Amino acid sequence: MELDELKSQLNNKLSGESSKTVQDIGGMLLKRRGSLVSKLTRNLYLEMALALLFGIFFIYLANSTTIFTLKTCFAIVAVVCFVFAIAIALLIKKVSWLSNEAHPLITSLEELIKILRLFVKRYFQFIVLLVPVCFFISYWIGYNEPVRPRYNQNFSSVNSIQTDITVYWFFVVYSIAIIAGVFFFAKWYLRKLYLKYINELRAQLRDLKED
Amino acid sequence: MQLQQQFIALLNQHQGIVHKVCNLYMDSVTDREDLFQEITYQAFKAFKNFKGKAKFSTWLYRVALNTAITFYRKEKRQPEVLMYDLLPEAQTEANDPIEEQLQAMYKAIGKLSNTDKAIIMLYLEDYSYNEISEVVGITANNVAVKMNRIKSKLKEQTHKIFENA
Repeated sequence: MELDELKSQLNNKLSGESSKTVQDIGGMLLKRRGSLVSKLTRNLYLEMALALLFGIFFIYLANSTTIFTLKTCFAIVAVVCFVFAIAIALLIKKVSWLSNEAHPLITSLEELIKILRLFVKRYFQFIVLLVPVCFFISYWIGYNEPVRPRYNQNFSSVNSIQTDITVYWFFVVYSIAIIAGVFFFAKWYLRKLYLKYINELRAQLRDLKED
Repeated sequence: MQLQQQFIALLNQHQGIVHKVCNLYMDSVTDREDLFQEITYQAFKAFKNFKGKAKFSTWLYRVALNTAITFYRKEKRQPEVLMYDLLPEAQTEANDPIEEQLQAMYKAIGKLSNTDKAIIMLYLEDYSYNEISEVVGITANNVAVKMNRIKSKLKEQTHKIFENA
């Protein structure tokens, strides 16, 4: 039997019984959410709140220390946190546009993929860039610290450290290991969180665009 | 508050659409309930921007299909129960030849891709190719091509199901 012959019966069968009451529907308006858009929105708000909190915390730290190195370091990290928060706020705006309108299926898929990819990209950039930035700050500014902390003056070994080449090598290897570790961890974490869904959405978009 | 009341009344009237999408896209009862909840929530969020240019049913289809296709499913918590097994008629009238054909067609539709399911659902609802193209976002010609392909797939699948029975 052809599809057209069963059309109305299939349609009725799919609808099933309308079992929800007005009270049920009313109760559903504010309850738990489980779509990818909701999950993404929750994550974005969380990331933004954390970035702002850390930004404020680092500004506080920068203000409370008299050591130039630490002051600069905390200020730079605070700026990075605020820039990240702004990037996240822009993404939230895009997600809101997506979920507050009933777009055609193809537009929703395209936009959601774009937003997810951008989010993953920004997140990855933030995590991975923060490490070399921190290393750079700690090595370069630390080396040029104009106000030497009092306890350092008692370190007799400081001069010998500066001349010992193996210590430099240790720091190089240590830095590379940390950067590589963070790089692969961030990649694995984001892949686990989003890549599967991005690929699923891409496959659906391909399917829809196929002639 | 008035907007909320208006939305609840409209959704109550058209809840068959949401049930249809849930039945077609989710296998387990829990997932269907979760999806129903999510569609209701997303539809309410988008309702303030519903200007009434399109029919409420067409608008609701857009929201429901968008939500279903991007639904974040949790890891399976229970053995998968296929959608046709949950239908009340599935066991009781299994010997009726029309019912058997309906079940075979139902199984075949369940095997389609998510985007094909969206198209077939609107087709079953008697939407024209132009209306389907507005909901899905592809051209009416493309909808026609896809519909032909879907019909062939369904025919092939139902034959296989009958051969295996």
